[in-house]
Amino acid sequence: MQGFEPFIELVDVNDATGDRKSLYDDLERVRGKGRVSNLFKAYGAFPELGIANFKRLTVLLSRGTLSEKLKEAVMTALAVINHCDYCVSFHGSQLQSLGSSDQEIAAAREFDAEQIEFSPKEKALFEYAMKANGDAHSITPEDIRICRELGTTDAEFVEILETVNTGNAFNTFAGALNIGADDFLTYAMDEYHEKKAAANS
Amino acid sequence: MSGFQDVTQTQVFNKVIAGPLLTIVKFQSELCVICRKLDPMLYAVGKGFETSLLICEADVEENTALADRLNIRSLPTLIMFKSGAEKGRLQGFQTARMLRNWISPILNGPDNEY
Repeated sequence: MQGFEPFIELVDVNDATGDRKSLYDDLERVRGKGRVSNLFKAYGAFPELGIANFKRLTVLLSRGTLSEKLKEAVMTALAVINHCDYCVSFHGSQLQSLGSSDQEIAAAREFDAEQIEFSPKEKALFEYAMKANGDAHSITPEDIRICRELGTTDAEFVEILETVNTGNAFNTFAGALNIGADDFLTYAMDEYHEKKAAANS
Repeated sequence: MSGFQDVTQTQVFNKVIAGPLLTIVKFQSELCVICRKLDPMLYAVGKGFETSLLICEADVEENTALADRLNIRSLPTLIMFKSGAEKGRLQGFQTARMLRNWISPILNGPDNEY
């Protein structure tokens, strides 16, 4: 039984000072007022790492050539694999904001890219990400050939693998510090609260 | 704890695989990390087929005789059974898509009445 409280202090936006405030300011500048996630409030305990990781996340999601929808779908799937209910709500909310339907989000949660409006290349890269996450050493030249023939570049292989790395890293962070879901999330919050209550009953 | 039915004991294994449901047994061990990574894929694939597909697991460290009998040489190994007969096997990590491609032809085949 984990309880509802995070295992480290999450400093409110209004109480942040110094480097922690700089981190929060960065988040609000990119995501909007009041959208400092609990994950990054936890990173506020080590602001330099928080700033570095937010930059990494911003580069991953805003640069590159793969769609944000693909990257969020991969991170949603990883959140399910890693039992991170907060992360499911977070990335599900991101997918909603990108216009994904509930059916598409459900498909991401069941690792079924065929049911998501993706291009053939995106479907192949979703599959590649799932396989790399399950057993990176099981990737074969045939897996690479399939992605290559659909137009995947070297940079896109790096981009999708970094999506896997980032998703897993944040899932671990949120789970091990018992970080709860943010008030501003929109996806599956009833489910999140039910699971939390059941885990703590 | 994966939540899949444990069929490590030979008697239980024999009874379960002899049943009419298409049955997948995951041969694993406690120390096999890749085995655990298969679980969410198996769960996802099993959704919606609760009445026609049974997913179980057996620990090869706890029953080496069973592992020898089934010629398990690497972990994880998945074996699909129907009415006691082996219908196919896969070794190593499998994505949900790979599992769906493996199961669907048999689940939807002419000899599967479910």
